[in-house]
Amino acid sequence: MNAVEIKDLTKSYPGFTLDHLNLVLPKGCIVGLIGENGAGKSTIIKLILDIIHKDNGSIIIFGKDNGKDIKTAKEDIGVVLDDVGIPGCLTAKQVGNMMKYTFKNWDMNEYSALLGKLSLPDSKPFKDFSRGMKMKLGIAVALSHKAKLLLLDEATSGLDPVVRDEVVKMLMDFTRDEENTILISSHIVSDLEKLCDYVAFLHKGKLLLFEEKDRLLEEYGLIHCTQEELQSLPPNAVKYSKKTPYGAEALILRNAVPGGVKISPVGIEELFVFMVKEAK
Amino acid sequence: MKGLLLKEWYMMKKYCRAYLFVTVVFLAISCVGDINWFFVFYPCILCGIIPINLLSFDENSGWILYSGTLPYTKSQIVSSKYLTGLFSMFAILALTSITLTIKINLNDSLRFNDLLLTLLAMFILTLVSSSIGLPLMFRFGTGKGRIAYYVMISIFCTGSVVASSLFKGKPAANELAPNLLLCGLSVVGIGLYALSWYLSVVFYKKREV
Repeated sequence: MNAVEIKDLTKSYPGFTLDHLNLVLPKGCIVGLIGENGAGKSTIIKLILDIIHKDNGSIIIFGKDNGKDIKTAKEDIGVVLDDVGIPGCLTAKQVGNMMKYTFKNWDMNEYSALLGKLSLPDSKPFKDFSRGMKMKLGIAVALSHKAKLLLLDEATSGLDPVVRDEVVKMLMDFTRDEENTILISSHIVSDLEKLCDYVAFLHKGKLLLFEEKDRLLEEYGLIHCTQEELQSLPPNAVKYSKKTPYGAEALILRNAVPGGVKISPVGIEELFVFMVKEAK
Repeated sequence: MKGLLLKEWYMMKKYCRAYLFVTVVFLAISCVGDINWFFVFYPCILCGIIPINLLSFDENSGWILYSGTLPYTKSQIVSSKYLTGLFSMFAILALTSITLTIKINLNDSLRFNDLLLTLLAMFILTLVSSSIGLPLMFRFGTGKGRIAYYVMISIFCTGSVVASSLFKGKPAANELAPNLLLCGLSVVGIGLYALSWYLSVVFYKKREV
């Protein structure tokens, strides 16, 4: 069974349409949702949680329609939002007390252990936390109720590299259990490159690509060549090309390029930028 | 639901201390000398604003969105605000009862019936102010909702003044016993609070954050 299945999902706002999105989150995987600001990443997360209403399509979470009993489904979902959303006057201890009465599977020992591990003070008001500490508290809450699905909306943005590394480690630990799944949205592609098994590229409400990360990296490559060399390549090999001061740079399909051409590996970020430009 | 109420309690402890202070001071002043009804009634107006202010803090902190990720229904989120309003109202009524009982014992010009009438009037006033305010906040958000609330309260107050001036001196008005009138209005107040809760749930379910 998949953790989440999204079929033909549509949502329109003035000036924005999430257009017939189809996406599957296989159990035990980390799926990275990559897109520029306003691409629709947060909208997808809100739609999964039924915080906003879809215009069309369906969202199935652990085999059940999210419109039918989302309250029960949320017991198994941990969410970390960009702004976290915990009231500023609450301390970590008070947040724990509150969550104890919110989640049926709340594990206070786990929560206390995470606060210790993440060096979070339990009596300091949330508003006095740094951005990194706020994010870490959000993650501690999300990981303390035996969630099977984590939805992280820009949860690593604005964190310093040390904290980001800690967070990435925690998320990797979470998916050691094959039942656990993560959907993480970010525009910091380097984090997602480290973490994800699958990547989904989103651009202006449209899904450009959804593929296994390793397969993508195997399938695509970059070449730097002259304009003449570029012209000599089979047209189906070149996905996107641009002129550079030294000739041309092209995103190519490795298996469509004849032998002897020097191909450099392509990163997820470069791939995303090429695909967005191609979509434009 | 328990978790939501606990969160409201923590927030009230932090943000509503000033209201408690004002209430105690005003009630203490009302105990001294001749009773000044402004000091008695003002705390209940403050009390009606408590859930509205808590909703403002929720909106500013991003809680409105975050609460949508937790296993609560929108009805439960709305209900927590209405229950918080009721709890704070009963706390104010209890404090007023104690103060006026002391006043009755100190000054025999005030009767026990006056205490009951005062509590009923406060009960109605608090219910009405919350009933008007909360649906507007849930419908429009706290920024626009607050403006709409002040407009509605102004209309309500103007309407009350016009109605009382129209009925003043009329035989029908003189025949109405205040006890009966306030009891009737209390029932209307409770109905209004229930209707207000229903509207808030409908508005909040439709609202996209």
